[in-house]
Amino acid sequence: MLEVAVIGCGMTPFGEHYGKSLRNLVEDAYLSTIRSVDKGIDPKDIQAVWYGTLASSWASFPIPDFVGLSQLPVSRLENACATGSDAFRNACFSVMAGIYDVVLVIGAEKMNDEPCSSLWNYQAMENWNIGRSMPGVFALRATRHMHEFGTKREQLAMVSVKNHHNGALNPRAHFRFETTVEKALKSRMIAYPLGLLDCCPMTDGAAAAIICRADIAKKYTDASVQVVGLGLATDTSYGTMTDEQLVGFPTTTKAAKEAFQMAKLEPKDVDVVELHDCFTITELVSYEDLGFCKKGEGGKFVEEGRASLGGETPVNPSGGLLAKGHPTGATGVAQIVEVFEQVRGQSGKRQVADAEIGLTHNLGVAPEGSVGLVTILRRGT
Amino acid sequence: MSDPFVWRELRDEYQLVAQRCSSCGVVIYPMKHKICPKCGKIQEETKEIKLNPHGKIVTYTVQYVPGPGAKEFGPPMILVICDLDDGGRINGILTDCAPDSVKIGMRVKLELRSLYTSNGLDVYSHKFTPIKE
Repeated sequence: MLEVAVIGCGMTPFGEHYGKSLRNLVEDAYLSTIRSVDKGIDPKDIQAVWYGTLASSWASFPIPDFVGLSQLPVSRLENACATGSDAFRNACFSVMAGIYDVVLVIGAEKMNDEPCSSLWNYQAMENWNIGRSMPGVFALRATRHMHEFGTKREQLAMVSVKNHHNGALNPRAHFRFETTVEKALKSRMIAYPLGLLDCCPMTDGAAAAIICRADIAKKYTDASVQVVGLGLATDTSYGTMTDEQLVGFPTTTKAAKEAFQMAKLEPKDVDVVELHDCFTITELVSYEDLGFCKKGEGGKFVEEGRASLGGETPVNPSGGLLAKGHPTGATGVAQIVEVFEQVRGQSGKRQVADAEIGLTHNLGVAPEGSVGLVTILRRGT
Repeated sequence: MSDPFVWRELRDEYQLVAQRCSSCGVVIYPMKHKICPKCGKIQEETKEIKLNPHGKIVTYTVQYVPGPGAKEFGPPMILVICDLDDGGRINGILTDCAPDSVKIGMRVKLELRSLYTSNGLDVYSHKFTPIKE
């Protein structure tokens, strides 16, 4: 198996881009990625593309046109909200297998063009529609976590406060305001116990990355970032939901285990984390599921500042999905972008001091099942 | 949701027909499976059971902003996951209950209720209601 390096990353600012089409967003992300390659890259070096979008375009058709590379092999990938990082993962496999040397990954979503309200239309394939919203699906976990472990709404609010603080430092974040525990607790109730500030926004955006065989990375940059761990797990549980699935996402645990094994690393080795905080409860249970603390201790973990910038494991320095935004197909790729820049020391005011190893966690959830994906990146040597 | 979908699922939904895995014993509902989703064992024959409609709430939420779908799902709407007394962990709507009185551990019962109207077709399903003790 060949080693893989990331040599360039870029993204659009995330936000409500009513004036921009999917094409405009993909072009911007692609161009910023090409321009991020330290020693430059000829676009003709790109041999294949993996394109992740949940619902913004049909198949792979727009990509060759958008990036001006006709006849390239483009694979479109969709895997719920873990779409972007699964596109990245499959692109990595193609390089590991020795099929391609240089591959482009694009994730994009034009959420605000979609014919839906702010609560995405989600209906489980094999279950009757009972009007569940995505906030409702996650809120069911929050209520149970509070009941079982004494987790408090204040602790959920602290996740929001932390991520909005970080987002305010990130020029590419959708929301750039600070908030307080009090404001979060008083925000409009969406699905008890989740208020408005416990929820991520509807965001447009695109992100991209260029990966290559690690042994040729020096041609493009002296500061490449190695892909050292990849893990994916999926479960469904129509009517057979386990106790673990009520208070967390076992797919995260499984994916993390796989990624850590591949990387020969442990949670304590990780310097910076970008995880899937679509709702505050998701971040809180993911501390536990990823192994940064024990099951049930997520509330304490955030309350003690261990996930804050300057804490032992800074989580979501970008502002996460809560503040940076969650354009579904772009989200996982944007997490890679943040970690790539963090381990290269390019993150400005939100830089995690001397970050060398970073982890991304992308999660897709249906009412009764989930897709967990973990990627571990390490500063190249 | 398409009407053929509703028609296909009618018996499970109206009569609470479920399946018990011949190997691990888990209650599978809704849908009949040839493979147990929990233990993976191939089901040589379907072991049909009737769900006991009584159970208790293991978690809940109250949606104050409506979810997708029919206008009948207007807020506030209480969603629950319940453990039935003879097995089965079921997702559903809790009705006939004030949003501030729902609690984990509360005793509930499945009752056939109107769910919504689709293309002139009245769709019924089971909803949970509190058991007055």
